[in-house]
Amino acid sequence: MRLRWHGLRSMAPALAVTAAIAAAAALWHNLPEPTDIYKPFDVHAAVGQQATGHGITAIVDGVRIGPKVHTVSPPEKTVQSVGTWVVVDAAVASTRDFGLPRTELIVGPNTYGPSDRFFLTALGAELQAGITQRGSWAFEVPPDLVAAGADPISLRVWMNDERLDSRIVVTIPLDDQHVSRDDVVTLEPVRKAAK
Amino acid sequence: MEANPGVVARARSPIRQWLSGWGFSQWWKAIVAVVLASTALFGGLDTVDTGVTTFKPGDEFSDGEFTVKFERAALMPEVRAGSRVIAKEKPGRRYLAVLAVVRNDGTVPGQLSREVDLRNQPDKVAVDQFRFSDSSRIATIGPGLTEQIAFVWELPQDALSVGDSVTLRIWKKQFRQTMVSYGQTWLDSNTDYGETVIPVGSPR
Repeated sequence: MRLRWHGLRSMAPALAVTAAIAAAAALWHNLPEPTDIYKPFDVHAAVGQQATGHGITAIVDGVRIGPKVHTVSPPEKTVQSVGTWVVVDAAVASTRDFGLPRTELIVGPNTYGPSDRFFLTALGAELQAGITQRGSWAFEVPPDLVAAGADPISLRVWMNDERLDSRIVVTIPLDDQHVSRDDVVTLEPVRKAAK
Repeated sequence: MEANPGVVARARSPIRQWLSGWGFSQWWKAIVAVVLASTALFGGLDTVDTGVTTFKPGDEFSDGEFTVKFERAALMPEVRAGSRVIAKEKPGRRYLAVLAVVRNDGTVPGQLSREVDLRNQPDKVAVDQFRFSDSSRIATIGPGLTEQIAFVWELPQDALSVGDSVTLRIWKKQFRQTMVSYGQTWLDSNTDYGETVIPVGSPR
Protein backbone atom coordinates (compact mmCIF):
# COMPACT_ATOMS: atom_id res chain seq x y z
CA MET A 1 0.00 0.00 0.00
CA ARG A 2 2.83 2.36 0.88
CA LEU A 3 4.61 1.53 -2.39
CA ARG A 4 1.47 2.24 -4.50
CA TRP A 5 0.97 5.63 -2.84
CA HIS A 6 4.58 6.50 -3.56
CA GLY A 7 4.08 5.69 -7.28
CA LEU A 8 0.95 7.85 -7.47
CA ARG A 9 2.76 10.70 -5.73
CA SER A 10 5.51 10.67 -8.34
CA MET A 11 2.85 10.96 -11.10
CA ALA A 12 1.04 13.81 -9.34
CA PRO A 13 2.85 16.72 -11.10
CA ALA A 14 2.11 15.28 -14.55
CA LEU A 15 -1.54 14.71 -13.65
CA ALA A 16 -1.85 18.23 -12.21
CA VAL A 17 -0.30 19.81 -15.32
CA THR A 18 -2.60 17.79 -17.60
CA ALA A 19 -5.66 18.82 -15.60
CA ALA A 20 -4.59 22.49 -15.61
CA ILE A 21 -4.01 22.49 -19.38
CA ALA A 22 -7.33 20.75 -20.00
CA ALA A 23 -9.13 23.30 -17.82
CA ALA A 24 -7.37 26.18 -19.62
CA ALA A 25 -8.33 24.73 -23.01
CA ALA A 26 -11.96 24.35 -21.95
CA LEU A 27 -11.98 27.94 -20.67
CA TRP A 28 -10.34 29.23 -23.89
CA HIS A 29 -13.00 27.62 -26.04
CA ASN A 30 -15.79 29.19 -23.96
CA LEU A 31 -14.51 32.76 -23.53
CA PRO A 32 -16.99 35.57 -24.28
CA GLU A 33 -16.48 37.20 -27.70
CA PRO A 34 -14.64 40.56 -27.84
CA THR A 35 -17.77 42.11 -29.40
CA ASP A 36 -19.64 41.16 -26.21
CA ILE A 37 -16.90 42.24 -23.79
CA TYR A 38 -16.27 45.65 -25.36
CA LYS A 39 -19.68 46.38 -26.89
CA PRO A 40 -20.88 49.99 -26.68
CA PHE A 41 -23.64 51.34 -24.46
CA ASP A 42 -26.60 52.16 -26.70
CA VAL A 43 -28.53 55.40 -26.20
CA HIS A 44 -31.89 54.98 -27.93
CA ALA A 45 -33.91 57.79 -29.52
CA ALA A 46 -36.70 58.35 -32.02
CA VAL A 47 -36.74 60.56 -35.12
CA GLY A 48 -36.85 64.23 -34.08
CA GLN A 49 -35.61 63.45 -30.58
CA GLN A 50 -32.24 64.72 -29.36
CA ALA A 51 -30.02 61.88 -28.10
CA THR A 52 -26.98 62.57 -25.96
CA GLY A 53 -24.30 60.04 -25.18
CA HIS A 54 -20.84 60.27 -23.68
CA GLY A 55 -19.13 62.91 -25.81
CA ILE A 56 -21.66 63.05 -28.63
CA THR A 57 -25.15 64.36 -29.29
CA ALA A 58 -27.29 63.79 -32.40
CA ILE A 59 -30.77 64.28 -33.76
CA VAL A 60 -32.28 62.70 -36.88
CA ASP A 61 -34.65 65.10 -38.65
CA GLY A 62 -35.93 62.72 -41.31
CA VAL A 63 -35.12 60.28 -44.09
CA ARG A 64 -35.39 60.60 -47.86
CA ILE A 65 -35.30 57.62 -50.21
CA GLY A 66 -34.77 57.61 -53.97
CA PRO A 67 -32.78 56.00 -56.81
CA LYS A 68 -30.70 59.13 -57.56
CA VAL A 69 -28.83 61.62 -55.41
CA HIS A 70 -28.00 65.09 -56.67
CA THR A 71 -25.24 67.06 -54.95
CA VAL A 72 -25.47 70.83 -55.22
CA SER A 73 -22.02 71.71 -53.91
CA PRO A 74 -19.10 71.39 -56.35
CA PRO A 75 -18.61 69.05 -58.01
CA GLU A 76 -22.32 69.12 -58.81
CA LYS A 77 -23.42 65.68 -59.96
CA THR A 78 -26.30 63.21 -60.02
CA VAL A 79 -25.45 59.68 -58.98
CA GLN A 80 -27.64 56.70 -59.82
CA SER A 81 -27.63 53.90 -57.25
CA VAL A 82 -27.34 50.21 -58.13
CA GLY A 83 -29.99 49.84 -55.41
CA THR A 84 -31.58 52.90 -53.86
CA TRP A 85 -30.29 55.77 -51.75
CA VAL A 86 -31.33 56.22 -48.14
CA VAL A 87 -30.40 59.77 -47.15
CA VAL A 88 -30.59 60.45 -43.41
CA ASP A 89 -30.83 64.15 -42.52
CA ALA A 90 -29.31 64.80 -39.11
CA ALA A 91 -27.41 67.15 -36.84
CA VAL A 92 -24.45 65.91 -34.84
CA ALA A 93 -22.09 67.54 -32.36
CA SER A 94 -19.30 66.64 -30.02
CA THR A 95 -19.84 67.68 -26.42
CA ARG A 96 -16.31 67.25 -25.04
CA ASP A 97 -13.52 66.90 -27.59
CA PHE A 98 -12.74 66.89 -31.29
CA GLY A 99 -13.14 63.62 -33.14
CA LEU A 100 -14.63 61.78 -36.09
CA PRO A 101 -18.31 60.82 -36.04
CA ARG A 102 -18.86 57.21 -37.17
CA THR A 103 -22.13 55.85 -38.43
CA GLU A 104 -23.82 52.77 -39.83
CA LEU A 105 -27.34 51.94 -40.94
CA ILE A 106 -28.99 48.71 -39.83
CA VAL A 107 -31.48 47.50 -42.45
CA GLY A 108 -33.03 44.12 -41.70
CA PRO A 109 -30.15 41.73 -41.00
CA ASN A 110 -27.65 43.94 -42.84
CA THR A 111 -25.23 46.68 -41.84
CA TYR A 112 -24.40 49.50 -44.27
CA GLY A 113 -21.69 52.13 -44.08
CA PRO A 114 -22.12 55.62 -45.57
CA SER A 115 -21.34 55.72 -49.28
CA ASP A 116 -17.83 56.73 -50.32
CA ARG A 117 -19.28 58.74 -53.24
CA PHE A 118 -20.18 61.82 -51.20
CA PHE A 119 -17.25 62.27 -48.82
CA LEU A 120 -16.95 65.97 -49.62
CA THR A 121 -20.68 66.68 -49.27
CA ALA A 122 -21.97 64.35 -46.58
CA LEU A 123 -21.57 64.34 -42.81
CA GLY A 124 -18.50 62.56 -41.49
CA ALA A 125 -15.89 65.30 -41.19
CA GLU A 126 -14.16 65.94 -37.86
CA LEU A 127 -16.34 67.45 -35.15
CA GLN A 128 -15.20 70.25 -32.85
CA ALA A 129 -16.70 70.50 -29.39
CA GLY A 130 -19.69 72.83 -29.27
CA ILE A 131 -20.01 73.20 -33.06
CA THR A 132 -23.04 71.43 -34.53
CA GLN A 133 -22.83 70.00 -38.05
CA ARG A 134 -26.15 69.68 -39.86
CA GLY A 135 -26.27 67.67 -43.08
CA SER A 136 -26.88 64.15 -44.35
CA TRP A 137 -25.45 60.67 -44.57
CA ALA A 138 -26.18 58.70 -47.77
CA PHE A 139 -26.41 54.91 -47.73
CA GLU A 140 -26.86 52.62 -50.73
CA VAL A 141 -29.18 49.67 -50.01
CA PRO A 142 -31.33 47.16 -51.96
CA PRO A 143 -34.72 48.79 -52.72
CA ASP A 144 -36.88 45.95 -51.37
CA LEU A 145 -35.40 46.31 -47.87
CA VAL A 146 -36.63 49.90 -47.55
CA ALA A 147 -39.91 49.66 -49.48
CA ALA A 148 -43.01 51.20 -47.90
CA GLY A 149 -44.19 48.94 -45.09
CA ALA A 150 -40.80 47.31 -44.56
CA ASP A 151 -39.44 46.89 -41.03
CA PRO A 152 -38.00 49.99 -39.30
CA ILE A 153 -34.33 50.77 -39.86
CA SER A 154 -31.81 52.08 -37.31
CA LEU A 155 -29.05 54.66 -37.55
CA ARG A 156 -26.10 54.19 -35.19
CA VAL A 157 -23.78 57.11 -34.44
CA TRP A 158 -20.72 57.24 -32.21
CA MET A 159 -17.43 59.10 -31.82
CA ASN A 160 -14.07 57.63 -32.86
CA ASP A 161 -14.06 54.18 -31.24
CA GLU A 162 -17.34 52.64 -30.06
CA ARG A 163 -15.78 50.17 -27.62
CA LEU A 164 -17.13 50.66 -24.09
CA ASP A 165 -18.46 54.07 -25.11
CA SER A 166 -21.85 55.58 -25.93
CA ARG A 167 -23.50 54.78 -29.26
CA ILE A 168 -26.62 56.65 -30.30
CA VAL A 169 -29.25 54.40 -31.93
CA VAL A 170 -32.16 56.11 -33.71
CA THR A 171 -35.03 53.87 -34.85
CA ILE A 172 -36.65 55.07 -38.08
CA PRO A 173 -40.07 53.70 -39.13
CA LEU A 174 -40.42 53.53 -42.92
CA ASP A 175 -43.82 55.22 -43.01
CA ASP A 176 -44.92 58.42 -44.75
CA GLN A 177 -44.62 60.40 -41.53
CA HIS A 178 -40.87 59.79 -41.24
CA VAL A 179 -39.80 59.07 -44.83
CA SER A 180 -40.21 61.00 -48.08
CA ARG A 181 -39.71 59.24 -51.41
CA ASP A 182 -38.59 61.01 -54.60
CA ASP A 183 -36.92 60.12 -57.88
CA VAL A 184 -34.03 62.50 -57.10
CA VAL A 185 -32.86 63.28 -53.56
CA THR A 186 -30.83 66.47 -53.15
CA LEU A 187 -27.79 66.35 -50.89
CA GLU A 188 -27.19 69.77 -49.36
CA PRO A 189 -23.71 70.71 -48.11
CA VAL A 190 -22.98 70.40 -44.39
CA ARG A 191 -23.73 73.54 -42.36
CA LYS A 192 -21.92 74.35 -39.12
CA ALA A 193 -23.26 76.43 -36.25
CA ALA A 194 -22.33 77.05 -32.62
CA LYS A 195 -24.92 75.64 -30.26
CA MET B 1 29.84 -3.66 0.66
CA GLU B 2 26.16 -4.65 1.02
CA ALA B 3 23.33 -2.50 -0.34
CA ASN B 4 20.85 -0.98 2.06
CA PRO B 5 17.60 -3.00 1.58
CA GLY B 6 15.43 0.00 2.59
CA VAL B 7 16.78 2.17 -0.26
CA VAL B 8 16.09 -0.55 -2.88
CA ALA B 9 12.52 -0.99 -1.65
CA ARG B 10 11.85 2.78 -1.84
CA ALA B 11 13.27 3.15 -5.41
CA ARG B 12 11.39 0.22 -6.94
CA SER B 13 7.72 1.29 -7.01
CA PRO B 14 5.33 -1.01 -8.96
CA ILE B 15 4.90 1.62 -11.73
CA ARG B 16 8.64 2.02 -12.15
CA GLN B 17 9.11 -1.71 -12.19
CA TRP B 18 6.43 -1.97 -14.87
CA LEU B 19 7.89 0.82 -16.97
CA SER B 20 11.46 -0.46 -16.66
CA GLY B 21 10.33 -3.64 -18.36
CA TRP B 22 9.16 -1.77 -21.50
CA GLY B 23 10.99 -2.24 -24.77
CA PHE B 24 11.41 0.22 -27.64
CA SER B 25 8.16 -0.75 -29.40
CA GLN B 26 6.10 -0.24 -26.21
CA TRP B 27 7.60 3.20 -25.60
CA TRP B 28 6.93 4.13 -29.24
CA LYS B 29 3.25 3.09 -28.96
CA ALA B 30 2.89 4.94 -25.66
CA ILE B 31 4.26 8.15 -27.19
CA VAL B 32 1.84 7.86 -30.14
CA ALA B 33 -1.04 7.30 -27.70
CA VAL B 34 -0.07 10.39 -25.67
CA VAL B 35 0.21 12.54 -28.82
CA LEU B 36 -3.18 11.37 -30.10
CA ALA B 37 -4.82 11.86 -26.70
CA SER B 38 -3.44 15.38 -26.25
CA THR B 39 -4.40 16.29 -29.85
CA ALA B 40 -7.93 15.05 -29.25
CA LEU B 41 -8.04 17.03 -26.01
CA PHE B 42 -7.43 20.28 -27.91
CA GLY B 43 -9.94 19.62 -30.66
CA GLY B 44 -8.09 17.29 -33.02
CA LEU B 45 -6.06 17.98 -36.13
CA ASP B 46 -7.53 20.21 -38.82
CA THR B 47 -8.65 18.37 -41.88
CA VAL B 48 -6.32 19.02 -44.79
CA ASP B 49 -8.78 19.71 -47.55
CA THR B 50 -7.48 21.69 -50.47
CA GLY B 51 -10.88 22.55 -51.89
CA VAL B 52 -9.98 23.91 -55.30
CA THR B 53 -12.86 24.80 -57.61
CA THR B 54 -12.14 25.65 -61.22
CA PHE B 55 -14.69 27.70 -63.10
CA LYS B 56 -14.97 29.31 -66.50
CA PRO B 57 -15.15 33.02 -67.32
CA GLY B 58 -18.83 33.86 -67.42
CA ASP B 59 -19.65 31.38 -64.65
CA GLU B 60 -20.51 32.54 -61.14
CA PHE B 61 -18.28 31.57 -58.22
CA SER B 62 -19.25 32.12 -54.59
CA ASP B 63 -16.52 32.50 -51.98
CA GLY B 64 -19.05 32.80 -49.12
CA GLU B 65 -18.98 36.59 -48.97
CA PHE B 66 -19.16 37.56 -52.66
CA THR B 67 -20.47 35.95 -55.82
CA VAL B 68 -18.14 36.87 -58.68
CA LYS B 69 -18.52 36.46 -62.43
CA PHE B 70 -15.53 37.39 -64.60
CA GLU B 71 -16.49 38.84 -67.97
CA ARG B 72 -13.26 39.79 -69.77
CA ALA B 73 -9.67 40.98 -69.37
CA ALA B 74 -7.77 43.57 -71.40
CA LEU B 75 -4.28 45.05 -71.66
CA MET B 76 -3.94 48.79 -72.18
CA PRO B 77 -1.22 51.47 -72.05
CA GLU B 78 -3.39 53.75 -69.90
CA VAL B 79 -6.80 53.55 -68.25
CA ARG B 80 -9.35 56.07 -69.45
CA ALA B 81 -12.97 56.86 -68.75
CA GLY B 82 -14.06 58.93 -71.73
CA SER B 83 -11.67 61.86 -71.82
CA ARG B 84 -10.63 61.42 -68.19
CA VAL B 85 -7.38 59.54 -67.49
CA ILE B 86 -7.69 57.22 -64.50
CA ALA B 87 -4.21 55.66 -64.68
CA LYS B 88 -1.73 57.46 -66.89
CA GLU B 89 0.74 55.89 -69.34
CA LYS B 90 4.14 54.93 -67.87
CA PRO B 91 7.29 53.94 -69.78
CA GLY B 92 7.88 50.17 -69.64
CA ARG B 93 4.54 49.47 -67.95
CA ARG B 94 1.05 48.43 -69.01
CA TYR B 95 -2.25 47.96 -67.28
CA LEU B 96 -4.33 44.81 -67.00
CA ALA B 97 -8.03 45.41 -66.35
CA VAL B 98 -10.36 42.55 -65.44
CA LEU B 99 -14.08 43.22 -65.64
CA ALA B 100 -16.28 41.32 -63.19
CA VAL B 101 -19.80 41.41 -61.78
CA VAL B 102 -19.64 41.23 -57.99
CA ARG B 103 -22.53 40.69 -55.57
CA ASN B 104 -22.20 40.93 -51.79
CA ASP B 105 -24.00 37.94 -50.25
CA GLY B 106 -23.02 38.80 -46.66
CA THR B 107 -24.56 41.10 -44.07
CA VAL B 108 -21.76 43.68 -43.74
CA PRO B 109 -19.97 45.94 -46.26
CA GLY B 110 -17.42 43.87 -48.19
CA GLN B 111 -13.87 45.06 -48.89
CA LEU B 112 -12.92 44.66 -52.55
CA SER B 113 -9.21 45.45 -52.56
CA ARG B 114 -8.06 41.86 -51.94
CA GLU B 115 -10.93 40.03 -53.60
CA VAL B 116 -9.20 39.03 -56.86
CA ASP B 117 -5.75 37.39 -56.64
CA LEU B 118 -3.85 37.73 -59.93
CA ARG B 119 -1.51 34.72 -60.07
CA ASN B 120 1.92 34.19 -61.64
CA GLN B 121 2.68 37.88 -62.08
CA PRO B 122 5.43 38.60 -59.53
CA ASP B 123 5.91 42.23 -60.60
CA LYS B 124 2.24 43.19 -60.46
CA VAL B 125 1.13 46.33 -58.64
CA ALA B 126 -2.54 46.57 -57.75
CA VAL B 127 -3.91 49.95 -58.88
CA ASP B 128 -7.53 50.03 -57.65
CA GLN B 129 -11.09 48.97 -58.40
CA PHE B 130 -13.47 51.09 -60.45
CA ARG B 131 -17.21 51.06 -61.14
CA PHE B 132 -17.66 50.29 -64.83
CA SER B 133 -20.75 52.53 -64.98
CA ASP B 134 -18.99 55.81 -64.19
CA SER B 135 -15.31 54.94 -63.52
CA SER B 136 -15.47 56.08 -59.90
CA ARG B 137 -13.30 54.26 -57.36
CA ILE B 138 -15.07 51.66 -55.24
CA ALA B 139 -13.64 50.31 -51.99
CA THR B 140 -16.62 48.43 -50.56
CA ILE B 141 -19.94 47.07 -51.69
CA GLY B 142 -22.94 46.79 -49.38
CA PRO B 143 -24.90 43.63 -48.59
CA GLY B 144 -27.34 42.57 -51.31
CA LEU B 145 -25.87 44.97 -53.90
CA THR B 146 -24.33 44.03 -57.26
CA GLU B 147 -21.77 46.11 -59.17
CA GLN B 148 -19.88 45.70 -62.43
CA ILE B 149 -16.29 46.40 -61.39
CA ALA B 150 -12.96 46.76 -63.19
CA PHE B 151 -10.01 45.42 -61.16
CA VAL B 152 -6.80 47.05 -62.44
CA TRP B 153 -3.14 46.05 -62.06
CA GLU B 154 0.05 47.61 -63.39
CA LEU B 155 2.48 45.14 -65.03
CA PRO B 156 5.85 45.25 -66.80
CA GLN B 157 5.50 45.91 -70.54
CA ASP B 158 6.57 42.39 -71.54
CA ALA B 159 4.72 40.45 -68.82
CA LEU B 160 1.69 39.73 -71.00
CA SER B 161 0.57 40.10 -74.61
CA VAL B 162 -2.86 40.21 -76.18
CA GLY B 163 -3.86 36.58 -76.73
CA ASP B 164 -2.19 35.30 -73.56
CA SER B 165 -4.24 34.12 -70.59
CA VAL B 166 -4.12 35.08 -66.90
CA THR B 167 -5.02 33.01 -63.86
CA LEU B 168 -7.35 34.62 -61.32
CA ARG B 169 -7.93 33.13 -57.91
CA ILE B 170 -10.63 33.92 -55.36
CA TRP B 171 -10.08 32.64 -51.84
CA LYS B 172 -13.08 31.25 -49.98
CA LYS B 173 -14.01 33.12 -46.82
CA GLN B 174 -15.60 32.63 -43.41
CA PHE B 175 -17.21 35.31 -41.24
CA ARG B 176 -15.40 35.28 -37.89
CA GLN B 177 -14.46 37.30 -34.85
CA THR B 178 -11.09 38.97 -35.35
CA MET B 179 -8.48 37.90 -32.81
CA VAL B 180 -6.32 41.04 -32.79
CA SER B 181 -8.66 43.91 -33.60
CA TYR B 182 -12.27 44.38 -32.50
CA GLY B 183 -15.22 43.11 -34.49
CA GLN B 184 -16.13 40.48 -37.02
CA THR B 185 -14.85 40.18 -40.56
CA TRP B 186 -14.54 37.82 -43.50
CA LEU B 187 -11.27 35.89 -43.32
CA ASP B 188 -9.68 34.06 -46.24
CA SER B 189 -9.31 30.29 -46.18
CA ASN B 190 -5.72 29.04 -46.30
CA THR B 191 -6.59 26.12 -48.54
CA ASP B 192 -9.88 26.59 -50.38
CA TYR B 193 -10.27 28.76 -53.45
CA GLY B 194 -11.82 29.08 -56.88
CA GLU B 195 -9.66 29.64 -59.93
CA THR B 196 -10.27 30.58 -63.53
CA VAL B 197 -8.13 31.23 -66.59
CA ILE B 198 -9.26 34.11 -68.75
CA PRO B 199 -7.89 35.23 -72.14
CA VAL B 200 -6.40 38.71 -72.39
CA GLY B 201 -7.73 40.93 -75.13
CA SER B 202 -7.60 44.56 -76.19
CA PRO B 203 -9.92 47.20 -74.72
CA ARG B 204 -13.31 47.44 -76.46
